[in-house]
Formats: sequence, structure tokens, C-alpha cells
Amino acid sequence: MVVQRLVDAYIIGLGDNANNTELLQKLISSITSGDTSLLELVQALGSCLASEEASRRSKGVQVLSDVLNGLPESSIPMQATSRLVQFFCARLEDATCVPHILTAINALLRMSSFTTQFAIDVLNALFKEVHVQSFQYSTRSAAYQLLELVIQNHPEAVKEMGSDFVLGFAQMLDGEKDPRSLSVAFQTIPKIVALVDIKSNAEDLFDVIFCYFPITFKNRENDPSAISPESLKIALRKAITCSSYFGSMAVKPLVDKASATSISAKIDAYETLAAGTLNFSSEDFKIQLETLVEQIREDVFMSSDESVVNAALDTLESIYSVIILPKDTSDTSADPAAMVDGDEGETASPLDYVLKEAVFQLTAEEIKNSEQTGKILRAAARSSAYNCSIVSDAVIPIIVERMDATEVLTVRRELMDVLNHVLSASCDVARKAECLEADKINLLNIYRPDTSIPLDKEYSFLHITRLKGITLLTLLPAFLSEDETAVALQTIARASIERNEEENVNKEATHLLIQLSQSKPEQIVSVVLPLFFEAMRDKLIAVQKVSHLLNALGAIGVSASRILVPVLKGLSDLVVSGELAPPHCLATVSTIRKVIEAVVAVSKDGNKESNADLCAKLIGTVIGSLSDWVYGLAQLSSNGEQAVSLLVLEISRAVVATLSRIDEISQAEYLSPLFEKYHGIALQTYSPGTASASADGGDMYPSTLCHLLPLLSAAVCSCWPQTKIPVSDLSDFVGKLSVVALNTTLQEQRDASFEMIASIINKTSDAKQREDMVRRVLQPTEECDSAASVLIRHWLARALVSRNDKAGYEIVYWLLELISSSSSSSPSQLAQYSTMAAESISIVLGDHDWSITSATHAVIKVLSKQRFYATVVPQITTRFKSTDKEQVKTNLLVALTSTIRYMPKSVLMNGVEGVIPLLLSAIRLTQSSLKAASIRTITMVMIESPDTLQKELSPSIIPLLLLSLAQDNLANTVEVRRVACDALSLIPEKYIYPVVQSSRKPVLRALIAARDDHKRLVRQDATKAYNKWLSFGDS
Amino acid sequence: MNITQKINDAPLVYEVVSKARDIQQSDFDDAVSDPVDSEEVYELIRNINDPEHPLTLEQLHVTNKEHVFVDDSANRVLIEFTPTIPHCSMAALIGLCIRVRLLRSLPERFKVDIKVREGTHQSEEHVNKQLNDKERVAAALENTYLLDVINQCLATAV
Repeated sequence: MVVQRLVDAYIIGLGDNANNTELLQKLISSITSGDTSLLELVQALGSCLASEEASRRSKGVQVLSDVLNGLPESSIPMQATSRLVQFFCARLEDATCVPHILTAINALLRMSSFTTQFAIDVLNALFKEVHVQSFQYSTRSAAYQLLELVIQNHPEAVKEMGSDFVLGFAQMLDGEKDPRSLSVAFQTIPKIVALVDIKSNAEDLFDVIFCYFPITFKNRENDPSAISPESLKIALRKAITCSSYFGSMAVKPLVDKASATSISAKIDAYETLAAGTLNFSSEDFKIQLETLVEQIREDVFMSSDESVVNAALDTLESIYSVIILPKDTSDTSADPAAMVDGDEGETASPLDYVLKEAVFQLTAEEIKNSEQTGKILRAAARSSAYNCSIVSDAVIPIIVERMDATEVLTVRRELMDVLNHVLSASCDVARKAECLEADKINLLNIYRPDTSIPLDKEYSFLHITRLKGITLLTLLPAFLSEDETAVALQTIARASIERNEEENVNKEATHLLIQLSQSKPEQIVSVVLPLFFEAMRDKLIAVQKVSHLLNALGAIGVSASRILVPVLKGLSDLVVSGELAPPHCLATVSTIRKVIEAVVAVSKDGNKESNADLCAKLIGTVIGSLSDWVYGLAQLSSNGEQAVSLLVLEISRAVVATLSRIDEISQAEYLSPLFEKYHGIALQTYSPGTASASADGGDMYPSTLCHLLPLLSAAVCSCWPQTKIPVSDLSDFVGKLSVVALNTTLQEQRDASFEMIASIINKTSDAKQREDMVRRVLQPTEECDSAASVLIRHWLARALVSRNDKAGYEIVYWLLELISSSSSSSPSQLAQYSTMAAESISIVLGDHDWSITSATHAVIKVLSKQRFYATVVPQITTRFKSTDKEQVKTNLLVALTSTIRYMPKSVLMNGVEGVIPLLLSAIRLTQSSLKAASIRTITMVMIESPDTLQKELSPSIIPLLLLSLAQDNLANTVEVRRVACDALSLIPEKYIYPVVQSSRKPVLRALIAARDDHKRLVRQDATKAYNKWLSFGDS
Repeated sequence: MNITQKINDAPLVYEVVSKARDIQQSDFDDAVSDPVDSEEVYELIRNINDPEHPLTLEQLHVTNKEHVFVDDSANRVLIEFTPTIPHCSMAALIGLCIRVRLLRSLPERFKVDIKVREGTHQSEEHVNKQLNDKERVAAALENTYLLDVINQCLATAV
């Protein structure tokens, strides 16, 4: 018989620990295909299953279990399931077979033919015959899994068994130590509680669970079971708090545990108590309340650990929220005072435990721990609106009375602090207590500014506390009238505006205004902002104060969207009105720009539509008026004022931030008036000595207006590729710009033209049109040999390389050719610009405020930088090797370093070996920024791939670094000397001693000299490097 | 030296208030020289670890910025330190750590004096003599065990 043979081989294999997968598959497939029946398999196993030898019986059951786990449901007939269940139930008393029987039953449990009655039979047998805790983990795990499956698939079975199930489970869990099993068991308990009324067995079950509290264990790293101590803690917490029957047993020991010395146990106890409020009855807590409040008070007063204090206060709040409920919950306006005194009569309110102590503290001659008292009162009051009323009624009259009676400032401050806490609870529950209305006048008096108290350091706490109180009164629902709110806001605003010795008051006041801006935006706009603007108009205002006011306004504007536009509008009006002292205009415009950038950056991921709306609104109000204002300013100003240029730059950046975020139609709408204004200016060539000429032949504009061209450039560059630029022929426009750029002597005009040309070409998707534009731009350069005719190619290369256009590389090759030519030997006039061309390579890849950046929708293809690196760097290397002219070599190194500087690290590390010799030559350069960049690149290679440099280290790198430390060489600026020290200090970390053994002495000598550098920063870095080298090789 | 038994096992630990100085524009200007000052020297020694505790000399107020005196033009440095208790037998070792740290960090032109602050140690004179005697310092540094202890204390100061 085939089955018999397979079974025998399988059993022999089990004995030899052989791999039985193939045999198992054969058995399964023969049963699935119908060649063999399950019955035949059992018959074949007969001798094993009935054997007197325990191990043989176990093996027999294992074969059966393995096969059942692998069989599809259709291959196990209903009748077979019934027989198998009976068989397994009977065999559960055989301890050696239990592990495999459990896995077999788990396999059967997934079948639909497994009935609820079977589940009951199995559970009865399991609870009766198997002592789960005597088995190893895998078996225990299978047993818990079995229970899980029964609860999930046959909840009726659990319901029917009722108490028997609960008892059986409790016995099964008793003594469990493995955190993995515990985690599963704890998660099972709430499910059981949901199915069965555990009333009669609650104590048994609770005893088994609660003995684990507080649970801690350390999980090993890379533990595959992946149970975190935190998840186990939460599972236990849920188990303990899942039933109301546990309340009477759990609260007392938990309260006891809250007094534990271990911080984690303490917090766990508090959090579990708070979690218990969901299911436990309020009576359970009431019995222990006095002890608990005492414990919480002790922790809040004494504990230095913030998390303990917070856990304690949260617990207090949760418990009070369940144990005191107004008699008639529907009538929330019921008078709490009447209820306490009238309905409850002599019985004390549970809040008395908190209130008595608080009243005692508040009436003491010297008030101590006002903050802690306040915190406890706040936690109690926050628990419900009803409790808030009780607390307020009990405390506020005492504070008011005492405030009237005392003049001692420290006592007043402490009282105010407590009052603030109580008021903040009122704000949180959004209901004001009755007594507040009665005491309104007194409360206002308490917080009334007292001009007799000097605004200096000693009293700053008093001022801050007062300001906080005023804020709370403002936030209280329906407490202050409109006028009163205005007065309150004015008080806080003045505190923020008026500078005094103690900056904390200013800071706190600003912070409070930011808080208030969320709930009272209208009043902030109507009351607070005018005060700030008024303060800024002061002609004698100091620079420091302006920056303080601008920062405060910026923060208030950013905090609430409804205030943002009024703030920015107000600031721009201030600038435009001319009331602001000229030196402060730039700071103000700069703040406007920063606020806009911050706001649009934050909402980048949020609602794009609202972001676009906001930007459109800002363009209409703020940007427009600022642009007009600066236009007027430029008309009036004498030639080339730097102040105007700086203002224009700030406004241009604001234009970029807003314009780039609106749609193409709105962009086109913005552009058309702009072009009307600036078109002529942009196309008019200025050059001294000769008469200025307009490419359009139109009217002439004063040259000072050219300082405004960045505004046009920023707007053009911010557009989407599909935005319509309002010119009749774009190619013609670009060509004219090129003529202007080549001939103008005004740098702003030249740069703005370059930026626009590059951006327009980059965003032109039609290849032919692009080609035509490039041709038109380059055409005038044929008759021109100025520096601009070289730079324009850098900009073209930037536009084309970023979109992987091959024409861009042709221009780059042209530039490389120029860089490789020497001015002395080349007949071309342009050769004199070879050094400049090399230095300007950074234009191609470097950063720019708006021209061809991803923020301004430029077409930047992925891998464009990689492609540039892979194409250009080998060219530079080859040219370097083939020339012997020093100047050319220097030029090439400059170009290489400028290229590498902007490469992402991942790109650079690919094929870096070929560049290293050149980089080392670049360290010899006289241009300090390139020298520093080369050393930085070497350092980066040292970090990322130290082996690449190992051979070069002693013969060339270290000597070059040591030469870079010399302060008598002008090329070795502070930056160069510092990066050289950094590179040196990295060597002991990255290489083993034998590699650099020979260099140790010269390095130490050079570093000793560098320790006496005349710059402090170099000395610090040299000392760090020296100490690393000193201990290098010791161990 | 037996350091398993701590001389002062519950020292007062102070909150560290000093922070690194702000970097100015002039720090990168080669035309401006930065003379060595007390703040720079204090920066070198404040993070040295105490031999007994995992705390820095700054946290224990053994060293103090006000007790570092530097005259760059005269090439002189004077450091006064305050042992945590008057009978501290670690005073000489702490002084030695400070000396070694400065030997390895300050320009070689400086002459460094290290003293126990007046009235803070019962054998003040003896410790001062020990710390400022070149030969005794050199001999101490030849003791490899002692050097190991010093290097451990200095490991945090780099």
C-alpha cells in the first residue's frame, strides 16, 4: 500500500529529524486527488496511534496534524471532522500527544464543518485534561490560539459554557511567564468579558490578571516576537479595566501602587486608574478617593518628574469626571451651590478633598506652592462643567476677598496664579461659573494694570501673571463685553509693544496675543494691529524695537489666517504711506516677504486652492502696492541707489513666493499691466557716453528704473510653462533681450535679461521654437566679444542642460573650449574671458532665487545633474591631462571644482577616483574658495569611501593639507585652514595607524604650529585634530 | 590609587550655564587677530571629566570662568580650581588633568600656572608645589597607569 509506505517513511523521517516536506506533499496530494481517503490514512497510522510507546503515539498524531494543516477544507468530510474531534478530545489526556493535537484542532477549527458543539467538547477536554502551564511555549501558544479561534468563530460556545470557560481560562493562564503568551492572553480577556457575564468568577479572573501589574520586561534587540514593553503594558491595562466587576478589586491596589517609588510603576498605576473610569463604577473610586487625592497632591507638590505630575493630574480629572454628576444631567444650568448645600445636605462633596486643602493654602499667611495648588484645582475643575462651577464657587470668592485685603505683591501674585488656573479650566470646559458673573467687577479690578508697579525684572512675574489672567478673562465665553475685550486686548498689546528692561514681559505678551488671535481674530485686527502700526510710525523708534515689533507682527500674522492679510496689508500701507522712517522700510519689506514665504511653505501640502486664493489676494493688495511704491521711489532716487536695489530684491522674492502658486490665467492677468509698465524699460539699452537706445524705438525711460527690472524677471520666471507671456512674438522678445543684455552697462538690467531669456527658453516645450530662440539669442554675440557674450552662454546652458537638451551640451563644449584656451596664445578676443568663463560655470548648476528652480516650475529633468557630471567631468579631465599650460590647467580646475560643488553626494561618489588627482591639484590653487571646496570634497570622499584615498594619503593628501595650514599664504584663508584641520582630524577615525604612520610626526608638528594660529576658530579645530593624532597609534 | 572608594560620593551638581560663544563675522577675517583669552582657555578645560564621577569639572564648579586668568602678550596663563571638599585627595590628579589638557592644547609659548583656589583645600601649598614642578609632572606622566586615568578624564574634553 502506497499510503502505508509513505506513512512509515514519514515516521522514520520524524525520528531522524529529516526533511519530510516532500512526503507530506505526496500524502496531501494523494488525499486531495481522492486516491486515498482520510480514513485510509488513519488506518495506516493505526499501529502508531495505538502504540504503547509514547514517542510513537506522538509521531502518529504529528503526521495526522501535519496532514490536516495542509489539507483544503473540501477534502475533510463532515463525518471525518466529527470523528477526528472525538478522537482528539479523548487523546488530550495523553500528555505527549497534546502539542500536536492542539495544532490539529486549530486546523479543524478553521473548517466550517466544525460545529459549536465540537468547540464545547474540545474546550471541556482542554480545561479538564491539559495542564497548559506544564508545556513549553509553542504548545501554550497553540492553546491560546485555540481559545482565540473559538472566541472568534464560535462565540456561542463561549456563551454557553459561561463560567466554566472563564474558570478554565483563568486556570490556564495562572503561572504564565512568557510575555508573548501574556500579550495574547491579555488581549483575549476583554473579548471574554464581552461574551460572558463574569460576575461569579470575576475574582478568580482578576487575581490571575492583576498579579502581573505593573508589568515590565526588556525586549531583546531584533526580537522576532516584536512585542514592545509598551504594547504589553497597554494590553494588561485594557484587561484590568475591561469589566465593571473588576472595579471594586482594582482601585485599592492601584491607588497603593501609585505610591510606588518607581516612576514607571507610578505612572502606569495612574494611567490605569484613569483608564478604569470608562468601566468601573463611581462608587469604586469614591471609597478610595481620599487616599488617592492625597497621593496625587503629594506627587504634584513633590515630584520633579513632569510626566508623573501630568499623569497624576490627568487621573484626577478623569476620576472627577465620572464620580460627580449633576443630579439632573439634562439641566446643566442647575445651580450647583444649591445642589451641594440643599440636595446632598450634610454629606460632603467628593471635591472637598481637593477644595479643603486648597482653601487652607489660599488663606495661609504665606501662600506656598501656588502653581501646584492651581494645577490641582484646574484638573478637578476641568473634569466637567458642573465641577468647574463648584470649584470656582468655592475658590474665587476667597481669592477676591484676600486680594482686597492684601497689598503684599508676592501674595497677590500667588493668588493671581491660582485664579488663572481656575479660570483656564473655565475656558476649557467652555462654561463660566455663576460666581464669575457676580464677582465680575472684582475680577476686573484684580487684573487692572497697576502703574505703581515698576516694569522691571523683579516684578516681571507679577506682570506676566496679570497678562495671563487678562487673556483668560477674554477667552471666557460670554464674560467680557465688546468694549471690555477691546480694553483687555489693548492692555496686552501695550505690554507687547512697550519695551522695558525685562524682555520676558514683551515675549509673553506677544505669545498671549498669538493665542488670542485664534479665537478673537476680528478684535485683534481692529484693536491690536493699529496699536502696533502706530508704534512703528514713531520717527524716533530704535532699530531694535522695530525688529521686535516686526517679529511680533509676523508671528501674530502667521498664527491665524484671518489676521494674515490685515497684518501684511497694514505693513505694506505703512511702507507706502512714507510714514515709516526710511531705514525701517527694508526691514519691514523683508518681514512681509518672510511671512509670505513661511505661510505659503506651511500650507504647501494643505489645501492648494485656498493657498492659491491667499496668494492671489496678497498679489492684489500687498505686492501690487509695494511694486507701485518702489516704482515711484526709483523714479525719484538718484542714480544707482543700493537701498532701492535691496528693496526690489525683497519685493521680487515676495512676488516669486506668491505668483508661482497661482494658476496660469491669473498669472497672465498679473503680467499684462506689468509688461505695459516695464516692457520699454527692459528693452532699452543703457550705456554711458553714448545715447541710450530703445530696441522698440519707443520713449526713453530714466536709467534708475532699470533697478526695478528684477521685479519683471521674478514675475516672468515664476510663471508656469503654459502661461501666456504678453508679447506678440516670444522669440523676437528673447532676441531683443539678448541685444540689450550684450550692450547694457547696467548689471541689474543684464542679469534680469539673462534670467528671463533662460527661463523662457527652459519652459518652451516645442524643440523647434527653442532652437530658434537659442539661435536668436546667440546671433548678436557673433559681433560682440564682451564678457556678456560669454555669460549669456552660461545662462543658455543652465536653461537647456536642466531639461537634458543636447544643444545645452554644445554650448557647454563651446565654453570648455574657451576655458581651455590661453589668452596669450589664442587669436580670439574672447580668450581673455577664459578665466571668467571657468569661474562662472557655477551659473549652470548653482542655486538661484527664481530663474530655473523647481519652485518656479522650471523644466528640470531627473538625472540632468548626473548626465552633466558624466559628460563634462571626463572632458575636463582629458583636457587637463593634454595641456601643459599652467593657466589652462588652473581654469580647468576652477571649472571642475565649480561643477563638483553642486553635485549631489550620490552622483559624486560614482567614478570619483578619476577626479581625485585633479582635486589634489586644485588644493594648490590660489583661489581660496575653490581650495576650500576641493578640500571639502576630499573630506567627503574620506567619509564615504576611505579606501579610494588610501594610496594617496601619505604621499600627497596629508602634505597638501599641512601646506594649507600655513597662515602666511594668502590663499589659506580662515576657512581653508579650518577645513584642512577638519580633514586631518578625520584621518585617525577613518584609517588604521600603519597607513599613515610615517606622517604622524610632521602632522603633529604642523598642528602644534596651527594651535598658535592668530584666529581662534583655527586654533580650536587644530587642537581637536592634534589630540586625535596624539592618541592615534597608542592603542 | 584606589578609586573604588569615593572620596566625595555625593558632590553638589550645578546646572551648566556657560555656552559656546557666538561666531561673529570678524572671526573669519584674517586681518583681525584673536588673542587667547580666558573664555577660550576655559572652553578647553570645562569639559574635563572628574576622576570620580561621570560629571565635568564645570558641573561640579571645580573650574570656573572667573578663575581663569590669561595674559596673551605676556604668554601667561593662571588657572585656579576649587576641589569639591577641602580634604579631596583627587585635587592633585584634577590639577594634573588640567595641566595635561593645556599642554596638549595651548600654544607652546604659554607658561601655565595651576593652583588650588586659596582657602579651598587643607594641603593647598603641597598640591600647588606638586602641580607646578616640571620634573614631578614629567615623572607623573611616565606612569602609564596614571596616564590612562588622565586620558580617560580628558576623553570628554576634545
